[in-house]
Amino acid sequence: MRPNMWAAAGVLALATLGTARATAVVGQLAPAFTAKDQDGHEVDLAKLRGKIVVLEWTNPDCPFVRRHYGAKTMSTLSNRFKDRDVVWLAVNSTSYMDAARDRTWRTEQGFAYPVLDDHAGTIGTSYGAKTTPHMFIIDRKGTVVYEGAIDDDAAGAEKSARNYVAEALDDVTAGKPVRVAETKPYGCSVKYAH
Amino acid sequence: MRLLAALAVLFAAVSASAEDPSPVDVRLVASTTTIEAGKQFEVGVLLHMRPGWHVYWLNPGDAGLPTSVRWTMPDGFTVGALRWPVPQRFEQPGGVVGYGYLDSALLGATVTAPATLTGEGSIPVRADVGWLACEKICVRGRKTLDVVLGRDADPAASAPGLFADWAKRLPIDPRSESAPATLTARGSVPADGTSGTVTVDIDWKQPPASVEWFPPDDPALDVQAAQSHTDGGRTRLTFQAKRLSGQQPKQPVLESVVAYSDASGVRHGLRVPVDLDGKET
Repeated sequence: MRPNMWAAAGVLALATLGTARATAVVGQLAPAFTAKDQDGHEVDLAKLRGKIVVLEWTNPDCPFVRRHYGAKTMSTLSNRFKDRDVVWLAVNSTSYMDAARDRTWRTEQGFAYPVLDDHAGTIGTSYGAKTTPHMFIIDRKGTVVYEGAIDDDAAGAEKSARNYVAEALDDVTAGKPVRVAETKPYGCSVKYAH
Repeated sequence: MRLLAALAVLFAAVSASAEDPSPVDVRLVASTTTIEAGKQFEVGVLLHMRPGWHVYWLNPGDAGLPTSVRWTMPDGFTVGALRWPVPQRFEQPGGVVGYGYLDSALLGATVTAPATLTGEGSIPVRADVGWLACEKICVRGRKTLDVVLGRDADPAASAPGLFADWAKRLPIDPRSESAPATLTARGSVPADGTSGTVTVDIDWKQPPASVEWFPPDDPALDVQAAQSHTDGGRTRLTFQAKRLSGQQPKQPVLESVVAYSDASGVRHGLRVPVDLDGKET
């Protein structure tokens, strides 16, 4: 179209709204990464091939995360599956936090899994992590088999919520296809740098 | 011991960074405090946010939480659905999109009084309000508001001017006579979980100066490639969606809103319902 036709048309509003869903797509290989945890130890996703990996995008400042940590949602679940080859990794892509902050929070909350320092936002961006929490499950072959919310209760209003991650882990550890593979994640927006 | 207690209180107050005074003030208002049998009036919650803070729309976008209002009215009074003013769009880092309100928003509803008013004539109204307010960080808030209408009404509750102002910011129904456009929709989102494309053409009576679409969403849907293209008198909205396995959308018809500005720059809204089954709405 000629430029002056656009001008004559008055309003050019070709806008793609709402970004594409996670670039870590269910059914495809999970994006590779290496990162340092809160104690400076390196974690390489490729070296975890053969295990089931849960990635939990997190942010200690987010009320949704605090509510779940108050209820010990994540640590209970990670403990339940740790002897079944499930590796739980929290990822903190909050731009204004660092490993020291992650260390303090981990000690305060008393959970055992590592927190990967992604304050540069590289891993979050490669996965398309939008919210905290935002959950991804990767099977033994490195394929994403679940992506989305921790459960179906964003407002925290229900007495018992349907935990999609628990269900997906039950399926994957039993060698079955994941019943509910994709849900819409909820939470605060991931606080990437501007 | 008293000194220690006093110091403890001081430290608690000073270190309460997560417990700072709420960035959102809320007020319960009504279009009138005079209640007549069988007649309708409006109630609303006016939210006022500190500069830079926003709360969320019915569809919060990629993250956030919709603002919620739960009404409690005396027996015989019925309250209609909450009405949402046209939202604003926030583009957050990382391409995370949010929809909601900066500065202030009036969330209102129509109340119908019963055919006979019983009792002394004092009408207590309660609103339980919940929100997620975000600026650089997010803070959840909750407040229960009570006013009395009718006899011994709270004079501060009466705000007819407020309702009149905010009425202009409500999306117009496309079937109403004052609708600025006609809509034609095609396509559907199949029940079998395969992807479908939906297109809505908006034919404007007067070409708007700008158009912004707040697309529909539902936790049970994967909505992608929502696009809005305006060429003179027509805006074409398209999106692709598929139903996520094991989940059902809350409604077969999703709400979406097109915000448009007229020649004088005033922002209005048009309600654009989208029927997932492809029926005429």
